[in-house]
Amino acid sequence: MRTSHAQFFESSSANFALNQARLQRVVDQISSGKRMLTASDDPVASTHVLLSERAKAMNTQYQRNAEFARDQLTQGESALGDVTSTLQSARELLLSAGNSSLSNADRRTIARELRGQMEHMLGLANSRDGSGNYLFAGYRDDAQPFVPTRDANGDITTVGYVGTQDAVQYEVSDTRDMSVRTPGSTVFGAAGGTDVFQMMLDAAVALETPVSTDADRLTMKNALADATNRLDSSLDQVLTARTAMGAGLQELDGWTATLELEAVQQDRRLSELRDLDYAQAATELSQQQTALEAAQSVFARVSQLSLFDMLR
Amino acid sequence: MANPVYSIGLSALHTARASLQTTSNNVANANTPGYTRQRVELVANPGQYIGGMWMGAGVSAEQVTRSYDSYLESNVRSTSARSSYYASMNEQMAPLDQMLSDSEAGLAPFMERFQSALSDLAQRPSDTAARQLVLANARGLAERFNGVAAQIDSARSDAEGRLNDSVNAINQATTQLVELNRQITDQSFGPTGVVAKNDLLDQRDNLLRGISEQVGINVVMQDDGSANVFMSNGQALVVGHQAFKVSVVPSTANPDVTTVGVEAGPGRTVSFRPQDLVGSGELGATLNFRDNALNDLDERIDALAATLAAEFNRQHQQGVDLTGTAGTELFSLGAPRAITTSGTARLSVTVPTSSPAAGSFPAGPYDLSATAAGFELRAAGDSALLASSAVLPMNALGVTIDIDSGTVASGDTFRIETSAGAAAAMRVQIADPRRLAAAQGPTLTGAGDNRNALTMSGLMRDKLAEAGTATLQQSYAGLVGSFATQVAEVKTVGRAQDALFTQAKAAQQEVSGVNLEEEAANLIRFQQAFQAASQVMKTAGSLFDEVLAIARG
Repeated sequence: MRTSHAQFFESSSANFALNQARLQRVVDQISSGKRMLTASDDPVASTHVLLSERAKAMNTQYQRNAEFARDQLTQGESALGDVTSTLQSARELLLSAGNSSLSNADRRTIARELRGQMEHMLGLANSRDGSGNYLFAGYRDDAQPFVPTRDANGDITTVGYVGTQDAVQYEVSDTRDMSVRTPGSTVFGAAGGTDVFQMMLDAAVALETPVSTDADRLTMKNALADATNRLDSSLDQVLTARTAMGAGLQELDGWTATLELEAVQQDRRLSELRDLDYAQAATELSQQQTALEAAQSVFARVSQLSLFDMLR
Repeated sequence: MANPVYSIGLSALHTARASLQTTSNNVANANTPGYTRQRVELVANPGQYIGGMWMGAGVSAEQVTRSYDSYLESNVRSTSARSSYYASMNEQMAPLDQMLSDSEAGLAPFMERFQSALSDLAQRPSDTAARQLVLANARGLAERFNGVAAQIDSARSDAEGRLNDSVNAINQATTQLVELNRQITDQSFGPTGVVAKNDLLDQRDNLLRGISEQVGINVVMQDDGSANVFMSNGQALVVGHQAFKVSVVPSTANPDVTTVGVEAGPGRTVSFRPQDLVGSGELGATLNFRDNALNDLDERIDALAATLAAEFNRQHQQGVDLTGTAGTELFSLGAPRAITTSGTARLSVTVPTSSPAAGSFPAGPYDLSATAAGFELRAAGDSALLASSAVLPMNALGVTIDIDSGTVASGDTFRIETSAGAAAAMRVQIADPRRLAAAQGPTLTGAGDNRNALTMSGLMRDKLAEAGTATLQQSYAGLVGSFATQVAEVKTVGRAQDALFTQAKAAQQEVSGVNLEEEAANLIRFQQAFQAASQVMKTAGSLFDEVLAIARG
């Protein structure tokens, strides 16, 4: 076979270019840590990478959502814990108020104490989260949900609820929106159920009313008994809400674990699809290097061989 | 009668000199592109009948011929056309492939950030910062769509430039070719025929190779030595002494876009469809890239942008904002249009700016055909009938199609591009963060109502694209994958075609290339021949002297 002079140089330099391009590719792969430099390197895997990366990013978002949901639930749950203990001490007060040896003045003192607890309860019902939003206001979380009206002495006469009756939900996965806020109307019975504030108000008013006759005494006793009954169902009502929150926290733990597991799997999947096998790349790097060096030295030697050199 | 030894020596001296000159010329042109190795054809002179026998009468140089094989040369041309087709295709597709799949520059991260921001908003619906973040990410997404559209647009104008460059290169080459044909066949320049005028023939082969890089050609040699050139589909580029101009002309299938045509007679131009020029040089590559891969990508990006915009508009309008006002459109859309692919009438198209129902946005494109019975609407390139109407205006899938101007005749066809320009035109229509409708409509229950934000965040998970068969992210991944697959195929086939081109060049060079070793050997050989011929001359001279000496004696 004849080889032409120009062809020898042309094909040599084309081979160098090819070798160098291969070398460059390995270098690019190693420096980026990625197997595929563009989608066309592996279209199917690239499509999966694209979707997996998004799923991974949304997983991070859901984990953040879950953290926020946990925050809300924990705050709500802790407020309701305080509500429970306040209700329990109110119950003790009511029980002690039933003692027949108490005077009108004694009962007024108890009523005052009860009103103090009601103020505390109002504060709890108007609890806010770290961002200043009301926890028990439904969707109207930027306004104080439980609004008292007071008489000239500053005593509460009624407590109105201006929040909405909606349970606020957050998304914690592709498929689950979880309730993280129970509306105050459910917890404190502002719309159906037992109205906690009205119950305490009624009890306080009954204790503040002077007793002189047996009929008065009977009225007061009946009022106290009624208040105690309502207090017990209030306790049940709050407990139900707390239990739901506790269950929510447990479910969140489950979601967090699932999300974390998914994140690990997504990482592994992404790594399999996308990441470079460094050992293989290092081998290829040295192979390509060797190939280029060999081609260079062969070229350097062969190109020096010329009959014209012998003609001197 | 002259001394025959003298004349034989002289003939040998002449031919040795001619051979030396040709060898030197070969050495000198060893690196000249397109140079074909030459050699002197030697013939023994007819013998003379002297003294009862035939005596040889020296040598003469018949002609200087090229070591040339027309089959090998034509193989170089055809492999070059295919190789440059795929190289040019790859060159034009690679930047888009890179951009689409880039983890930062692609659309996917922007869609995801928008979704994340909505998810954040669902947790803090009354938080101004969360609202601003949603708007910022919506703007980021819209701007990225604009950016992708701009890159597609610049690829398109780049392709237009390439088409013009190719056309100019071809026209220049065919004009020169006509001139070369004329010189080669011109009797007054010397003998004609395929063996004459080697350098002109080399020049012509070079020109033909140049044309082959631009477009695939067939070359037909004529008896007078001129070369006729035809495009691969038979359209003449050069016949005898006439070149037929190639030009960029409006496509007959769609007057809004250009294609390439060849002059086929006075005032008559034959235009090409991209499929006529598959594998046919840079011209074929540019035409096919622009009209297939790029158009397809453009349509799919627009369809995605329009679907995303229309679906979010729909959902946002179902919500209510912080001021208690019903949500307005979040994104603006492009300008739907109808393209007349056959016929003279122009149609108008109206498309809703918000999806009629989840997953039902008519993203198109569609084909509308006029029949004797009325109008039939189909998804572009699909045979299934989507809707029909006896008259225009027709309303189907939420799209209203009407006559803008002219009269529609049976057999006319139109392409209805409902999403045209959506990616380029995408803008966020809301600037005030309070106007984001995070709450469920129609009346505001409270600033903490996050229901519409939740639903909007969920839109990215819903199958809203491609007639409700894919999520928006899946639709994007699908278009990236489909483009990447085309690029991968172009790369693979391109490598094979490069190898064939290299082989064809090597085979051609094996016959026609200059080998310096061979030339060095020839140099020695012809030098020796020259020296020997000189010796013959010297001997002839001394013989004459001897005879003179006898005469003087």
